[in-house]
Amino acid sequence: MTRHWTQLRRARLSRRSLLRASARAGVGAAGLALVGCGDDDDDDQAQSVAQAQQQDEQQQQAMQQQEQQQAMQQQAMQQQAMQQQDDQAEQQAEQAQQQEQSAAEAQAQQEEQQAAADDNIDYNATAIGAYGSFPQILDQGSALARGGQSASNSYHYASVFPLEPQGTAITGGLGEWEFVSNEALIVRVTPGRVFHNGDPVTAEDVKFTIDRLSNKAEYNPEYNSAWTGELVWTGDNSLIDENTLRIEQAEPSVDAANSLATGGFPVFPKAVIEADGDDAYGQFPIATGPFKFVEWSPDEYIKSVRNDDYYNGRDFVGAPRMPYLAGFEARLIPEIGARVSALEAGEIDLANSIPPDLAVPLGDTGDYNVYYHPAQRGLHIKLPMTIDEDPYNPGQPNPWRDKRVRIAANLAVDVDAITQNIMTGRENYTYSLSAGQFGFAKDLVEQRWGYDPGRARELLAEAGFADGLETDLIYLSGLYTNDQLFMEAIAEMLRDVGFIVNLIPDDISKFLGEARNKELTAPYLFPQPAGFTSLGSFAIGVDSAATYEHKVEVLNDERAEIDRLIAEAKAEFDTERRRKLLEDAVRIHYTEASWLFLFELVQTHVGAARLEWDPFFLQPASVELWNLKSVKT
Amino acid sequence: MAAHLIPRLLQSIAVVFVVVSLVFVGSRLIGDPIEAYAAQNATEESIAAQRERLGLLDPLIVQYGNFLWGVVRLDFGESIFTEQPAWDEVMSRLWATVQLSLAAFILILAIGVPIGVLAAIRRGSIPDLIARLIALVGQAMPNFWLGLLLIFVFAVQLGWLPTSGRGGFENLVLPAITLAGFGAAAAMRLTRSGMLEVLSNDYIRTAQAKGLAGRTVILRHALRNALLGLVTVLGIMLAQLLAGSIIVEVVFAWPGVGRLIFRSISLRDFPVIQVGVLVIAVWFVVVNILVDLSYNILDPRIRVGSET
Repeated sequence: MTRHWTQLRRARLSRRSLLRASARAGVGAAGLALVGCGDDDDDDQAQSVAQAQQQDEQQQQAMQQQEQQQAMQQQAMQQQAMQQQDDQAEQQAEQAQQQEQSAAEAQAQQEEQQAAADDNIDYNATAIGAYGSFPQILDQGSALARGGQSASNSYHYASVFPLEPQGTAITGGLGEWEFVSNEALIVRVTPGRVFHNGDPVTAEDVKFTIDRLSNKAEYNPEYNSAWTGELVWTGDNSLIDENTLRIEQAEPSVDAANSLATGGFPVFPKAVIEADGDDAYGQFPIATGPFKFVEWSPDEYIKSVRNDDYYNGRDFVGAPRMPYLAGFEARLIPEIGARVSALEAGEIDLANSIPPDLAVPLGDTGDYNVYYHPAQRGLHIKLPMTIDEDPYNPGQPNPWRDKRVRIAANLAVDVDAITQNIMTGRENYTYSLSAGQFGFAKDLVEQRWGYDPGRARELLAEAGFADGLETDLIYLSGLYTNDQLFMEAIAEMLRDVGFIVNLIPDDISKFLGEARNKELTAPYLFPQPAGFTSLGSFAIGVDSAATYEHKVEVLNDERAEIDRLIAEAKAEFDTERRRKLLEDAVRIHYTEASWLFLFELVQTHVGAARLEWDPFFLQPASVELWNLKSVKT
Repeated sequence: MAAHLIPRLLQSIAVVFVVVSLVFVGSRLIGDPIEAYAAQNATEESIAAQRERLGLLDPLIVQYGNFLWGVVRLDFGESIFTEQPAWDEVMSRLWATVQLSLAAFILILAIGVPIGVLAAIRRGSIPDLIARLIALVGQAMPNFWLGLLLIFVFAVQLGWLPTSGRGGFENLVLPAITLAGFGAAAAMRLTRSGMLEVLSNDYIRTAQAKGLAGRTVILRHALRNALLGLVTVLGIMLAQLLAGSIIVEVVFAWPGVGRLIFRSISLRDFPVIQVGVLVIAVWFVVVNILVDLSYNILDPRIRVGSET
């Protein structure tokens, strides 16, 4: 495949050279023709013609000669200019040719290096990776399987459609899609695709998957699905033929195809689940992913081997792809220090989720590779701007509804200092209510609030809080790396400008319950939604009706406008127009200081020197096991 | 014997009942399991359906009644997360924890008692000082720290033992030592103080005056009497090893009940928490009864049922 493209490039080069040569030859011939025409004007003169006439003729002749000389001079100049142009063109062509040749050579060299690198990969190698948590069951569709997905389900399962680096669905892989207006989605399964047990994947399996996950499957309508939220757009679905499914849209969803691909959307084998039941399936998953499940002991290990029937080759445009490793064993080692020790003792090859203070020294030894990647977690502090009254002073207006107070909070916090001193230093500041991988609102860089405690104090004073503004600040303790430290730093920075902050660490279950029930009236730390499409993350993470937003008693005009833009984007099938709508929402959201904007977390993992990983996704959920190479030593 | 044992058993059943009831109420006060696993965009309908399926919408008293009725029928329900019987979930991990606890208990006996005896009979000597220092360090050092230290030295630096996991005998060594650390130090100090007290008694001097061999005096006359006080503490220790192995199981990735309960608490998996606590409570009660019975063997003067 690669050689074909190289040859094609070289062939194109030759044709271009020929064209340039032809052009040069044509210009030269025209010049010669012009010069030759001037010589034909010397006529014989009759001696019997009057002298005056002769003089006139001589004068005319002289003038003609002069004109001819001028014309010849002009022609000569033109020829010279053309020659110069020609020379320049030739030089440029040569340069271009040289550049293209060097590019081709570089490409060829790169391909050779790639080929050498490929030769250097040990395709029979296996690896052992340690994780801090395992899923409780191995059924990707079940809400009970949440947590520890990267240790198992993320590589046993593959979605209906593959993904490009931003995490957006593309056609290929298992199938392709087509929108029928905004009424239905047609899914065509590519014939020849098989499950891990060798059974063919058909449209009936896709239909069963959607039914199962939206609690419509006849065998168990009470299945505890984790995907009901993603599939609210689905209406009835019907088989057109063995490989084609028509899914009616109960509500128009521009994200329909994406929702069948992002976040590890699975495809289930109908025959297996109906025969064995949910419980058995949760213990022995059969799916379509790049690794096949072999066995597990729930608190100890999960063993898998490469799925050699996996349909996305290693040169496929999307992901996941055929793995390099022949097998992988995930081990459960909850304690971080013990994971590092197991790596140092050579018992494992990959230690997942290691804090930078432990990972960096290991990388410095040269015996290990440290992998950094942005997590799907952009942190921010939600500000209670939709609540009417001040919880500390009933009857008084809520101070967070004052934009000056929100800006003051943003100006008070030195996010860069926090990322440099407490985190890895690789975290990106987040401007957007959507994950950074979608690249929204890059133009907001110039409008960043920045760190300006003096201005923050002034704004608080202007807003009437010169004597301080009391507020609780809630966060989930122990959920993110160094969360206690950076929240204490944030609280201290806010105190420095006049906020009287009561920092409250909370427990996840209690917190989520209170947030879901809209009982929280104080600012709280929260992540951007992970594993959703760009649109999905807006709808889930920022729409004022979103699950974990503060209760809505009153909206200001800007917030109402954000809701309107998101609603409009949900119904906008044109990609560019949809993006524009979402960017407008992001812009308003940021410039209104709707949140206290923080940073996108970076995850750190450590692997043995033989393991190489070059992330495919812009924001991978964890180490992409299908993309992990073991190089020969 | 029976007259003593039957009230003791009834008392034990009451203790287990109270403990499990407290756990039932306490676990429901700490949060809602659905919140722990519901997807961020889960619909209200699906959340409500899950709560109904698990009976969480019933009044607490109804839930408690259902729970007690289940206990009577030995039906403890299913784990909320794995949907496997909670009893099976606990039982499948129990042997791993018992194995670890017994190994640690043997180490406590093998290390704590002999060194305690040695320290007592060589009171004030260098071995006594070393033993007291070891006991102090053993009791002061948190077991998670001791565990990481042992892993670093014996697994990473020396490469003699595996860092974690459950496999052969070699996997048992470091977690057992870690779990035994505090207990062995405590046993050492108790044995030493018990022995010192006994060794100062007249009957010991009498035994020595009779010309009995030093070993006989120590083992038959002194240690047996010193052990009386130690047995109660060792019994409690044995019970605590089962319940207190959580940290060690986490550090050494040991797949036991402790880790299961720890995880279940964080997930609010009520049925598993209840069964786990029930098993530990029963274990405590059984060990206590065994300790009571052991007095019969160790001290004929307080033989149960022989009172006149």
